[in-house]
Amino acid sequence: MSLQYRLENFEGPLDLLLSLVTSAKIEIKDIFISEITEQYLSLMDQAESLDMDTASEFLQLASDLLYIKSRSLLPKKVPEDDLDEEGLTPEERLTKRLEEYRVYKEVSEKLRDFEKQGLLYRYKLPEEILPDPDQEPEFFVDAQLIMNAYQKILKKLQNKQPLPDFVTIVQDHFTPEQQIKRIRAFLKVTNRLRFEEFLSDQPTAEELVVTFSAMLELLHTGFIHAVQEENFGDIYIERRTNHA
Amino acid sequence: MLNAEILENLLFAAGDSMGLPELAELFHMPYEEFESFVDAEIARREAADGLIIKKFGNCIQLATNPKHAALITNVFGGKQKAELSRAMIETLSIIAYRQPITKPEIDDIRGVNSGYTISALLDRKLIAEAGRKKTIGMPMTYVTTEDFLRHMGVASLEELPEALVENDNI
Repeated sequence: MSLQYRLENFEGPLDLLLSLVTSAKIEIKDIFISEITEQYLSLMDQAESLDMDTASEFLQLASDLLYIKSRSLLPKKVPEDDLDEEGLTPEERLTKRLEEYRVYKEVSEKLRDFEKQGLLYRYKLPEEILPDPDQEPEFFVDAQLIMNAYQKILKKLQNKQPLPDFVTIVQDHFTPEQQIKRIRAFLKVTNRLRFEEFLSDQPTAEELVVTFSAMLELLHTGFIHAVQEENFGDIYIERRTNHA
Repeated sequence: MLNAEILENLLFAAGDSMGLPELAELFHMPYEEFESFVDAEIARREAADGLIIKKFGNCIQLATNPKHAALITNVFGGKQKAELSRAMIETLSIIAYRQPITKPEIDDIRGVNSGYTISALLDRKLIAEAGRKKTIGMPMTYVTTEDFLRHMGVASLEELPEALVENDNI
C-alpha cells in the first residue's frame, strides 16, 4: 500500500501526512493511535532521492513523529515539560498543525474554482502614452556641482588608510574550556546564577562570546538549564539536578 | 453629465482599472450615488452580451463577457494567464485569509519553506509587502492585491468562501 506514495507528488510533509490520514479514513486526532506514524516513516527511504531542502522538511516531521512515539512509550509519571509557547504538548501541536493545514488545503481547492472563473474574463492593458517631444523633461546640471562631487570623492580616497603590511594576532585571553570550568565551579556552590555574574565588570567582546559559548556547551551536554523570562532580559543558569 | 456611454469611453481609454472615488469626483457626484449608478450598470451589462464592467475593491474595469469565453479562446487562443501551481495557490490562500501574515507563519502552516513561492507571487503582483511586524526579527508581512481579486474574478475578499479554523478567527 505504501508503494504507491511518491514523495515528489506531495507539497510537503503535512500534505503527505494528511493524505495518509484521509486514506486510512481516520480522524486527525486519532493519528497517534494508528499506524500512520509507521506508514510515514516507511516512506522516508525515498527522501534520499529528493533535494536536500525538501528532504530535510520531510525528515523534520519524521523526527517529530518519532519523538511523539517515544513519549508514548514512557511511563506517565514523566513531567510534562515539553509544552510549547501556547502550552500545547507535542501531540497537540502536531494535530493542530495538521488540522490547520487541512483547512487551507480545502480552501485552496475552492480558490482553484474561483481561479477558473477568473480566467473567463479578459482585460486590456493601458495604452502607453508617450510624452510630447516638446515636453521632454530638462536635465539640468550645474558644472560646478559635478566638480564639487568629484572633489569630494577624491578627498575620500586620499583619506583611506593603506592596509598595514602585517597584522598582529593577539592570543586569546579566554578559552571556552576555562569558562566551562569556571561556570561548573560556580554552580557547585550555588544552584542558580545570572549569566552576567560570570563576566568581569567590563567584559571585552572576546570574553562575552567565549563565556556564552561555554554556556551553550554546558546546555548541550545537559549540565545546566537556562531560563530567560523576556526578550533581552537576564539569563538565569541553573544546575540540572540529574547531574552530579 | 454622466451616462453609461461616457463611462465606457473612459474605461476603454484607461484599459487598466479606474478608482471609483476619482471617477465620482470627475463627474461631480457624491460617492454613494456614483457607486449605485455603477452597480446598476454592472448588472445591466451582465444581462447583455456586450463588454462587462468588473469591480475590484473600489476600482472598476472593462472586461470581456464570460459568456463568450470559449469563443474568444477559440479565436485568439490560449488562456491569458496560466493557472497557478499548487504551492502558489496554497500559499495564496493562507495569505488571503490571514493577512497580513509573515513568511515564518506561512512556513509553519504549510510545513515547508515558502520563500520561492512568495517571491513568485510577489513577481506576479498577486501579493504585496505590507510593512514589517513589530516582533523579533522584524519580519515582512504580506497581503493580497487588486490583481489577486482580478485573478479570482471577485470584487472583494468577502466573496471568497469561508474558511473555518477551530479556535481561530479567520
